[in-house]
Amino acid sequence: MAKTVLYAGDGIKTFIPQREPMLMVDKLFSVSENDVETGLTVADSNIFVEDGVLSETGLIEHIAQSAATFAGYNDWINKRPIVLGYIAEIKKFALQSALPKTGDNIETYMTVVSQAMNITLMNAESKVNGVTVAVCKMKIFMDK
Amino acid sequence: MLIKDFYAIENHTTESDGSHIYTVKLNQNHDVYKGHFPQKPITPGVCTIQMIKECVEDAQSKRLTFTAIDRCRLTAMVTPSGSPVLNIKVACDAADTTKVSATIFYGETTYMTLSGTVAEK
Repeated sequence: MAKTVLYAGDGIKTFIPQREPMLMVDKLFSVSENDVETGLTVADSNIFVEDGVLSETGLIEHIAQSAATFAGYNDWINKRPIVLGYIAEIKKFALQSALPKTGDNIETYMTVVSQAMNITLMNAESKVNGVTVAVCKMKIFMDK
Repeated sequence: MLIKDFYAIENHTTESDGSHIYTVKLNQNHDVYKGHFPQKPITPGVCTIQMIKECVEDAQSKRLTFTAIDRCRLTAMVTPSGSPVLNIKVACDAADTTKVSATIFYGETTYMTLSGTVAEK
């Protein structure tokens, strides 16, 4: 069954400052103060795609922008300005199955582990067709 | 190179401990900077990870995927105008060449440290 999409395509641009060709989230399924669920359909034109396969670095960028979508949505809903966010640290990234291919729909679920000052630590799990592709922990620095 | 013309390797040396140091020059005019970010070009952290992987690929003469990244710390911001030239030091474990560690630095500044595992594509 298809999931409900809150925002898609250009609608995501309300929440994150990344733009083409570096836009790596195209769906927001759900979001709260503690978690977020995002998606990306892998296009052949994606700059992280080679020979029909998304690179692990492209997948990590999708996860980073999922965290940015989480932060940006919560800023937007609280009427705060959207700020630039950067990856500060990646820990325990593990590829658990084959990398996504062109046309695959990636779904990423992230939860807040801890939050202090401008640093947020989040847990991430990315799936394709219900199968876990990768997990990691990511520390994001928000430039406030 | 995954992202065409993103950078160019200008020099490569092999150290006495078996590690490799690549000197790369970033392409300030690359399309990536149109989107990351408009009005504020910043080199995406994942693009520097990709450069590390491509240096390891060059050192090992193999096409590789990072199957695990135990830890990657981004300790300073890379920008195409502020840090156009970077040194990428890669070291592969002699007993197990799938274990890789890397440091990106220039002068006194360390931009990234990474330890991970690669597998052949």
